[in-house]
Amino acid sequence: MSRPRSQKATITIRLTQERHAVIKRLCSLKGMTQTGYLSSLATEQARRELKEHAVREYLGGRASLSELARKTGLDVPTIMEAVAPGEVEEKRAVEGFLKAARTLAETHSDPEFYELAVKAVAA
Amino acid sequence: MQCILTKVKRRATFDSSFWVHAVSLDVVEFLLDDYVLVCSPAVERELGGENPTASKLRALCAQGRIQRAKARAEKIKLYGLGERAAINLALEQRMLLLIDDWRPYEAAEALGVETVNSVAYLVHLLARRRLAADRVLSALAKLVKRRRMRTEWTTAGLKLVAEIRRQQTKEGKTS
Repeated sequence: MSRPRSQKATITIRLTQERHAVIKRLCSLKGMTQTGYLSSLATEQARRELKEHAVREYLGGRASLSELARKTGLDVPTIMEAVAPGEVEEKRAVEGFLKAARTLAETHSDPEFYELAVKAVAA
Repeated sequence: MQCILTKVKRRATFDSSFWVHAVSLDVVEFLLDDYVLVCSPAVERELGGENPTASKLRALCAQGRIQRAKARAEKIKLYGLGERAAINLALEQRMLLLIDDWRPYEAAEALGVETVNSVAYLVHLLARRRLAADRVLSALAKLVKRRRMRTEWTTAGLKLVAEIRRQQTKEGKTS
């Protein structure tokens, strides 16, 4: 029984001799075809840029997750994962959370509330 | 005379953002206990194929624990397919809408849909003594760390947790 063949698209790219020589050399070292190398490189780069675009648009409040899933072709969990902040932003968010928890603990004379918040953040 | 009390569950639908949080915060069983959950095919589609969040939804649908339905008409055409489908379904069939993405959340509220986000649901679980304060705080901290919710929402949640704790401690002392 023959396996169904996936349809493939063809893109033609024109390179200068110098650029072509660079790619040719690398592909020969890696033992890859130039087509295989360029298609995986372009796909990975495009995926990364789609994620970056989604994060920028979402954090800028310009699009919802659902809209971005449609526009980028990425699934919502992938976009939400990509939205995760860097170390500095996370630290700032945690500090804000703990500051609010401390104020509430003092207001309600409930020191344990702050301790619970500290534990929650550490978990 | 025998009186049998049965809990009538309200039907609720959800968008992808809420479902991702429900799975990661481990509150799916509580949701199934509280509501008849209904998922629109567009939400299921945009959750993707091979990830734990989508797999969990598919498994629950296959077990019949979550129903599938879609709105007959599209009253609103805003936002992406999943959010639009969830809002239209809630609007048409008067369902509760569980949603965490703030822009469509606000649009749904403006249309008169009853909406609940993850923070409000966590606070509800605490108020009903179904989740302890430490677990609710851990869940809120997780949302804060991942920058997944509006700061106003998590701050409001934190205030409510403190207030409920105060009330529950007072009740514990007086009873």
